[in-house]
Amino acid sequence: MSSVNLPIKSIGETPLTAEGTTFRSITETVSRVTENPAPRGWWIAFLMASSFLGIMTMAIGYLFWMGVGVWGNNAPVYWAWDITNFVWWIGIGHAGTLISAVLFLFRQKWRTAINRFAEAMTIFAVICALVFPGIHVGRAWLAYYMFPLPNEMSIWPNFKSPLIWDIFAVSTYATVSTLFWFVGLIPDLATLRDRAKSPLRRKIYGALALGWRGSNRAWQNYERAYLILAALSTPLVLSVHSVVSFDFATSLIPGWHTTIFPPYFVAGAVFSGFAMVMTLMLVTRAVYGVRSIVMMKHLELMNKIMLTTGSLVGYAYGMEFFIAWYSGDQYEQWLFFHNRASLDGPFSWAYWIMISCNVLSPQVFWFKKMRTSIPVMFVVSILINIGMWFERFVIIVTSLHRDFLPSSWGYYKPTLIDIFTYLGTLGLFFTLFLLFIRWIPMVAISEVKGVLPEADPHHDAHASHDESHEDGHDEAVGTPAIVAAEAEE
Amino acid sequence: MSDKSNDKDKSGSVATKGSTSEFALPASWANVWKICAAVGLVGIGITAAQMFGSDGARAGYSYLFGYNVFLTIALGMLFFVLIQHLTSAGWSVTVRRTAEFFAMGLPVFALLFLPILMKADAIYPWTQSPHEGKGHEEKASHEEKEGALGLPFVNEAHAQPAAPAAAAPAGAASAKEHDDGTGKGQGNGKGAGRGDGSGANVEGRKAHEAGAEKHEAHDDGTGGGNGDGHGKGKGNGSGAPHEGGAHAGGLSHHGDALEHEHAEIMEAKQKGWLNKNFWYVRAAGYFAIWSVLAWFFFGNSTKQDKSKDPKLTTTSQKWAPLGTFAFGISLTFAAIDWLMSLDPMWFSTIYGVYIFATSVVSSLALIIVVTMMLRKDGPLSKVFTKEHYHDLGKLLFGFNVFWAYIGFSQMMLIWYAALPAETPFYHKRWETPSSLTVGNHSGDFWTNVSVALVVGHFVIGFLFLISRNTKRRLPVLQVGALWMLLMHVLDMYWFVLPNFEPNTKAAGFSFALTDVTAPLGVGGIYFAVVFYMMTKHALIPTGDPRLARSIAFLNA
Repeated sequence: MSSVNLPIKSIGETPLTAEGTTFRSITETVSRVTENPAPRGWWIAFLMASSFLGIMTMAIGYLFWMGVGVWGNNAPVYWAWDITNFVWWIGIGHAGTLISAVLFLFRQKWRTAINRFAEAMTIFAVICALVFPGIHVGRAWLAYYMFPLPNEMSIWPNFKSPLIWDIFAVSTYATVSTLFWFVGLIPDLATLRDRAKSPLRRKIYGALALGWRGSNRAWQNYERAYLILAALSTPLVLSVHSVVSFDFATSLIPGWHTTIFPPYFVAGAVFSGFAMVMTLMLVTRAVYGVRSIVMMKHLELMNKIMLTTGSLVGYAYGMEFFIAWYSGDQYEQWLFFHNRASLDGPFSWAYWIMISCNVLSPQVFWFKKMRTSIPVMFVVSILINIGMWFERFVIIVTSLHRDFLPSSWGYYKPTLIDIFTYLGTLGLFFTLFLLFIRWIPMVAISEVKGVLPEADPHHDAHASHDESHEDGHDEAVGTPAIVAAEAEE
Repeated sequence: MSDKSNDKDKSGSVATKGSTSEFALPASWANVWKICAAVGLVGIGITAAQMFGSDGARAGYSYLFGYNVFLTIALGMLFFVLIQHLTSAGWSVTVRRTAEFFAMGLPVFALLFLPILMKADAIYPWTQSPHEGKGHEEKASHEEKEGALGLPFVNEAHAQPAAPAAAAPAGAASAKEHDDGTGKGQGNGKGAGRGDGSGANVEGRKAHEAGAEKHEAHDDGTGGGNGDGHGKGKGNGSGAPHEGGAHAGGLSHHGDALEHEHAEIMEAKQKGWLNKNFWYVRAAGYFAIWSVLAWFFFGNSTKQDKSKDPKLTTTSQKWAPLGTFAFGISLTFAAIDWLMSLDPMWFSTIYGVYIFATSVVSSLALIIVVTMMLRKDGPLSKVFTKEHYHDLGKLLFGFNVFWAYIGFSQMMLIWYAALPAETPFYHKRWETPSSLTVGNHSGDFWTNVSVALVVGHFVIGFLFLISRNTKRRLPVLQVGALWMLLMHVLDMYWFVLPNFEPNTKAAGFSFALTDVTAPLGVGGIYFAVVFYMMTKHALIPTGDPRLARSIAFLNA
């Protein structure tokens, strides 16, 4: 039966790894990045990123000193870049969980090439997102009021407020994503430990690897843990951004209150997350030569997901528009037709940036030529990142700047501090990301090995028993257990 | 463990052959389609007699309910086929054919749509002129003044106290603003009437703000050149014209102004979307899309049985994305046209996704039930393995959660905002009076149905299907799938029937014979077509290049 799982060429199936990839070459390619000295480019990028991080620190320090008045937020736009950035970052964080949990459950094995990368991004994006609720409260030293902690004044958060649901949703998400990421890392950290030349390196990776020995029993437990974490994370993919959408949708403001918001936000989040993974993956792949692992096939599949999610987002935009018209609700109609879409609207430029970046630009991926062109996908992925930022900006600011009280209508402009803070979080993100690239295997070594043809328990049809795989080879640590069916029964 | 290795051994021998005749419909099933057809004809006959008899409207609603129970299933089947091609799935090849058969029943729904077409006037309120219309005048008096405010879905604080105070001045002021702003094309008398209505409405939306200011907002921003916005967008549409009282909650004192307001909005909607001619055209479009898609994928797959040409697989995969697009859009608008428009003043952007979710859940349940029955005799037990059922069970479980997620999203957001334009949907499904005594006192019927859906469809479905053991023990899974089908029937009943409002309010809602005959009729005809097709083609795609992979597939 070994042949049935091999790619069938006549229907266009191709292997998940490049020709000539072996267990050894995967270990080598990935581990080397963390073992060799960082290339000069890494240092340049790192210095730039950490400079931006410094700018963020200063911007936030200034904010704490002066108060939130240093931002452009003012009546009637009380929420602006702070929440826009928060939602944008949280959204970017969704690709990781989708890839590691949902695609895992759907047996999309191609995910193995990109899941580590995406999961790391998830965690860093959530960290960046969490900056904003922390600093937007005005008196940052009272930020702990966001949590339902007992305090001497017996002031409890309003449990009916979606903002407190946000705290629960995002903190759960951060915890589970981190746990998931770390569990997946254990076998690879053990690989690095075993390859380590210096005692310090061996000690550190050894401690992180939690004494992993790669025994069959360890693999069984590992795979079970992975499956359970995937099952637990899957609802989180939906819940986190649904709860974020509740921040808006539970209100009465036209453009905020609409029932499609929860799934629409989830689709948008996955969309932006994939775009960010794509942008970074293209650069990293070129610099570190992991092309044999992250192949064109993977990039093409990611582009297909972007086309799908981008179209889902387009569907949601369309439904909002259609229902505004269909409902006969004058407030909805005015918001969509005049405030957003009409070129007379002060923020219509933002609306049309959003539409062209999010809905139109991914449509190029209908064509295989475009899906497999690196420059095209790079540009489109950046356009999507921009478009998804504008989506949140459009939702938040256009709805607020002309609310029910025309005497208070105004225009919103960000201040320099707004801009510095936002750029600063990009610095934070890239700093963490570059450290990750430098010290942690950026591809899930053991999982990619699992999709090599040799890893199929029936690959060697003459082998008397599957166990022979377990005992026989000398690279126990880096190889995934062949527990496929056996472990389950 | 031992079970599995048996399965594997058997499948090994089957996979290599894959001849068409081997997987023909078992002889014992050859006449099933005739039985289905007989049941269907009798069911349709009884229902039609009622529909075109004395109580046509009630039977019409039954028919719409029965129709949608099976239409959603058929659409879910089409989605199953599409998504397998879209993702180039290999595991599902053997069960895909079952879905293809059931999707191939879609063209017959165009024929089954005729009774709805003929009785559209009795079923859809928007077919009537909002100003006259005999049923509607009567329905307008349908009151629930006290009941409305005891609801979880109507926020008293917003709806009631401010109503008398704000309405009059707001109305007057806004009427003036309207005339200033738009001027042309609208008579003064009309403007005043509209102003009144919107004034009342405005405070319904945001009690603490003066309605007049909002009209300023409207006029300022649009600068008078906005005939469109004014024409279609008066007020925020609190409820259908035929039940102002129930919809607007505390606003029922201002019934006249509201009714007028609603009539104005209805007129605009009838001009734009909800008019019969356009409705016919759209329906024709949906049936065309679905029939073409079903036929295309079924045709490719059955052609492959004979030719074994792998190109047919790639062709299907190539068109699946476009097909999915067309499918998603047509399903959404069909849901709006045929179900959401039962209450023409109500709207929800998530509605299409909601109907999509119920389609997927029910079709997965039916695939499980039907393949298990087919499997009882014949060689199919070797090709529909425990592994396939495990996966189908996972999908059923997952989409049931998705259904609950979508349902909850809509409910929670409408409850939270408590806008009079949106709450009627849940209001009807919670407090519509009924003659049925189910529970402590009469009037609880729809409350109980709603609770039954939450508990039965979601909670029981969730707990039952979450276990791996349930999904791998086929008789147990079959019970679960049957349960989900039953819940789907209830779900569609809950979607359709609360919109039926009997003219004699004392009687309230009650069951009708047609509630049973209609689904039997529609289902019978649909199944007859499907099972007839099964006599003509192999029950699995014997020519698919991934057939062996699908048969040997193991859940890792």
